[in-house]
Amino acid sequence: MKMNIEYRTRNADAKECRSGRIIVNHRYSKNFLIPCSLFDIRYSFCLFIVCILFLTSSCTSKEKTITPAFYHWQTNFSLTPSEKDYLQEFPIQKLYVKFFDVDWNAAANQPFPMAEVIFDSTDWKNVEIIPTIFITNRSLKNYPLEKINDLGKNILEKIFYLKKEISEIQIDCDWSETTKEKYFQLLNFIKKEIAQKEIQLSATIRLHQIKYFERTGVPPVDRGMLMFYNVDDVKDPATKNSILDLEIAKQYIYNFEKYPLNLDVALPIFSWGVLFRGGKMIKLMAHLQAEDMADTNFFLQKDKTHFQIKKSTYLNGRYLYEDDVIRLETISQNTLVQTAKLLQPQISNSELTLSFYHLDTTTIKNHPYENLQDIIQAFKGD
Amino acid sequence: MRIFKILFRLLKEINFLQILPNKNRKRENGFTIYDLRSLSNIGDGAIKIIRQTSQFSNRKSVLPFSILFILLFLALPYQISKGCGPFELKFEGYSFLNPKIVNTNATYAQYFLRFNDLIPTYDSLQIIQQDENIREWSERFCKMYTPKELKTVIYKATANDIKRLRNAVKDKKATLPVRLNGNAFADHLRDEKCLEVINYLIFAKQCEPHVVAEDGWSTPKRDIEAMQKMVARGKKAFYKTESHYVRLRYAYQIIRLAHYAKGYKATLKLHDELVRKVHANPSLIDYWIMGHKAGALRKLGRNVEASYLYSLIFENCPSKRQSAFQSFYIKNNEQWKELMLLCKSDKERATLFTIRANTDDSRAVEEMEQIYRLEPTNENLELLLVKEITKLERDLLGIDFNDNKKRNQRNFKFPRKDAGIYLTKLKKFVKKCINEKEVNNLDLWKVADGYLTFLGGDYYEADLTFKKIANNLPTDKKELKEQLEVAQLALKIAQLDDDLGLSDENEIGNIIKENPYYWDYKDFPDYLNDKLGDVFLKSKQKGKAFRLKHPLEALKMNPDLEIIEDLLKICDKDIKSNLEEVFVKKDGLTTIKSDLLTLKGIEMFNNDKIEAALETFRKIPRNDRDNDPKLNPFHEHIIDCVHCPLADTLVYDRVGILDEILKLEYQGRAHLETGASAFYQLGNAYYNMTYFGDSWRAADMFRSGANWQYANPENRYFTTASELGNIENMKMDKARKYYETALELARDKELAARTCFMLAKCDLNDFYMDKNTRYNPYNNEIPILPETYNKYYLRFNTEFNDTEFYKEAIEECLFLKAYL
Repeated sequence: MKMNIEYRTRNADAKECRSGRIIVNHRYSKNFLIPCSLFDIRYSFCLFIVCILFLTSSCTSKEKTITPAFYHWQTNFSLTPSEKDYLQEFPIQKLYVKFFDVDWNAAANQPFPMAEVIFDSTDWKNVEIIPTIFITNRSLKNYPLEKINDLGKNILEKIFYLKKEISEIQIDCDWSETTKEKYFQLLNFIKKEIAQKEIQLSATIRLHQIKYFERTGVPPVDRGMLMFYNVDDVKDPATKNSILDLEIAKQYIYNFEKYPLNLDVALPIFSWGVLFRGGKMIKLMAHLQAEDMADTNFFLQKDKTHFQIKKSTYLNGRYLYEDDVIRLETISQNTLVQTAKLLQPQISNSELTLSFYHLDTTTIKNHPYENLQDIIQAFKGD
Repeated sequence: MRIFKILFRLLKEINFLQILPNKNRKRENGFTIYDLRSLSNIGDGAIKIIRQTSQFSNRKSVLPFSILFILLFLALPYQISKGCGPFELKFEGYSFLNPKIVNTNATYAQYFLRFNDLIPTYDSLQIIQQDENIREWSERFCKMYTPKELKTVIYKATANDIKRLRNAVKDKKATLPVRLNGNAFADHLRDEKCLEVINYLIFAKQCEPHVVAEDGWSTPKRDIEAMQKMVARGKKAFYKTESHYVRLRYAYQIIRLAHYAKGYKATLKLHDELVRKVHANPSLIDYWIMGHKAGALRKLGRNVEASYLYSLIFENCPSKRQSAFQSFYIKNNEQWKELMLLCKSDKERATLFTIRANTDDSRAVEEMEQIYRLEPTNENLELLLVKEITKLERDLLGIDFNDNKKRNQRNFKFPRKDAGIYLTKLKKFVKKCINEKEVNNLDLWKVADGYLTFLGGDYYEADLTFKKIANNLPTDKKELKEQLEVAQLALKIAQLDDDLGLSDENEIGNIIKENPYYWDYKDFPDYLNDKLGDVFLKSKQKGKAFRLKHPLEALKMNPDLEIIEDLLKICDKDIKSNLEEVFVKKDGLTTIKSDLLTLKGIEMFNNDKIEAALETFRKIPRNDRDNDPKLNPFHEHIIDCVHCPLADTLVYDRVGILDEILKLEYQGRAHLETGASAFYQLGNAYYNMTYFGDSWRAADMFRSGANWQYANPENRYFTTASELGNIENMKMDKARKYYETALELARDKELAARTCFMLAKCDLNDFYMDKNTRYNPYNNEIPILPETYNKYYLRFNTEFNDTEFYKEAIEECLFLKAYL
């Protein structure tokens, strides 16, 4: 039986079915006579297998629909010509713009908005702006539960003051078990308020919040934005790359299949220097590049990522002392592609936004849009 | 906590169990049985809870009580809930620097003498600004009016109030607004017809809505057009005004409006136009104006010029110092060089280094060297010196014995890895200053040198330095003298070594008793305790090490034979050091020896060394033994009652109990045919001397009723009194052993029934201790026992149900009634 099927599949053709029998010709051996009914069963079985294979393969290889996007995390929303070109050529239609932070104001004894965005240009009219609000944990920790709805009201008023037409609002908060209740209430309130305006609510999700979602809870929002970065302890001098170390990140790839929210993904394309003084992390130096530390009078490159200060100097607005150490953290194209391949099978929703953090002249210089399109392709599952 | 537990229990009583669906409840023989199998995944033994219906399930009887309790709870002081809030992480180290050794009136003293400085609140800055402004108005009016009067006119009065004041100037019949009635400053403005000032005040108040900082959630309502109109109006008024002081204030209002209207070039233009037309005496307003010019320069990318202006403001204007420091920004070495070239004097250059030295985590010795080079007498040098030493104290002071060292490293990253190298750098600079003798307060630098030597661990050299300074220190330098003596005391404590002799300990005792600095400097007690704790542990004096940190009560909770023996040795010493006296002193006349002997006896008894325990108890003086609890553990109790009064007239102290135990032991072994009764009594004794019995005090010195609900096989429980925890005497092994022997030997069925019942109780207690048990005894619910723990209850029911004791037990014991 097995042999006959092999013949059928490799060499033979069903010639005819006569008087309840089918004659099978094959090229290497004599013909077999097989009862038609048996052939039908075999044929059906093969067809079934083929169908299953087709269906399964279509499940795995079906391309995801990906909307590329960027985060804009600066206070001045003023796009440079190179940024504008970059967005146009990509093309990018969606920008997550940090509208303001919400932080605890001890003097006022309540959370206040900080670092409100200033729209210095009107270039954003061609792209969809998603207001993104970062809320510090201490704002929630210190504020009583019964006033959380007031906070939600204030946040919404401020957002709508800054922009009238909105299709989505994103809230960014690395909530903890102690702030979960208040945070989720805030989200519930905002969601309820904006539902009538048909505005979607999304929230950022950290990796650990998926792995331990039963403990950390699932935010009551329409979608989650998985922030696939800041995976390791930035303060630890022994950390290799706190922004994205795939070996560390892999330890958190758990429970994606059980996670009840549709997920979008944010990938890092920024770089920074982590300044250590006497073994203690002092400061994060945004946008730092190796070429900023090329002057050997002041900097001694110890290895690929570590630079020692030979002589005290100013660097990007910060005064560095002799013997300080900077750990340079950047993300390579290869790491981003590997990340896309790692995450692609984990995200079950077929439509998602892939957002890059974040838009500025330095990051786009280091990550040409063609490179980022490769990452999108990798994410699609090609 | 107890209140919380009881409250929780009551709420549970009325809410949780009552809301269970009917299918989970069953009423049988006066009991309600709650079947929790469908609701919980807890062990099979605890899935049913049986409650005596009459006692608990009457909601009406519980409800008023619960409400009363909740009301009582709400009436409790707020402080209770405050204690449960989050706590702030605090660095746990020592500091012996006296801030008075530097000039506390120095310009930046308030900033440099604190860590995390330069963070006054917005409100406090507003207050400083208002006070400075009022002071200046006061000076302009020859200090004729009180700050309150000036404040009312300048800050509290509205534009309409001031307009009415202007009307009063023109029309004598017009009245002043209520707010300004009786205000001498307002009267002066009216009587002297100070229309320029009045008009300026009206203009300033009309500017206010355009320039106040946006507050919190309010959305900004700046009307640029209106602001520009105000600028034009202000300019007109400026040129009309004769008083140059009032002109200066107009200039400030106009420039501020232009800045906030984001007309940065216009701001600079207005500044150049107006300021040169003002010839007033130096004023704080000059710096306020400068701040707006600097802001405009920054926005136009002229960062170096802006930073230069900010440095001038930082140096000269306290009310704007905070914002000037935050706005000062230099991007690279080239900008720094340009900035230095803009400075007009070495003092200004020194200020730039001072600002740089004040950033978080700076290594200020580099800036101090530059300040010293530019201006050796700069007052900030001393402040920076003290600030840097304070940081090094965190790194190095007591680092060998600080018991919070790991915590500090984890939370604050102290000690810094290169603290030693940094100390050497600072010390080198201090030496240079001492040698060149150009600094202001040379003695301070000498003391600092000695203190740094001490922090560096060279105690011998530090001692020599301190002694040398002490001999030459002028008598009028009291603060410095005190600092020197404090440093010497810290050094003396640090120098204590492992072989402390009698004289050393005497001296320590004297320090605690007599040295005023020991109590004035709040870190000394901790510092001494940590050091001595380390010394005693290294020299294996466990008793002393223990007593340094714990009261005797902690030992009662968790007795340790080595500690007890060590302390007993001290008690027995003929000549004790001052420190030893402190360790073993109980009250004015007595020592803790009797307590220690009691603890030792109890420990021995619990370790089955009965004869040795007896001998130990007998060493306790008769007087103290008379204070021992009088108990009778040999009786059976159907229901355990820890605090019930004793019905017996026959009671024993610990010696008596042990004597009786030995006697019964002998009886039991010598007369096996009648031994069952003796063994039964021994079982009772060992049962009643556990945590569950009324004679627990015979074998323990501390018992917490709260621990029952946390019962576990390890038997160690949390207590706030000691990190060692509290050991409870919950094990049933010994009682069980004697009861089992008694049951085996019993010829009398009644005695066998009693023994069997007591064994069932042992099983029940063991069930509480089982790590898988989730039963909470505070619920007053009767647990269904799993098979492993139910053997003797079943046997009691099947074998002994015809005995008198059975009837008696059934009557008394609700548990038994529920089970059978």
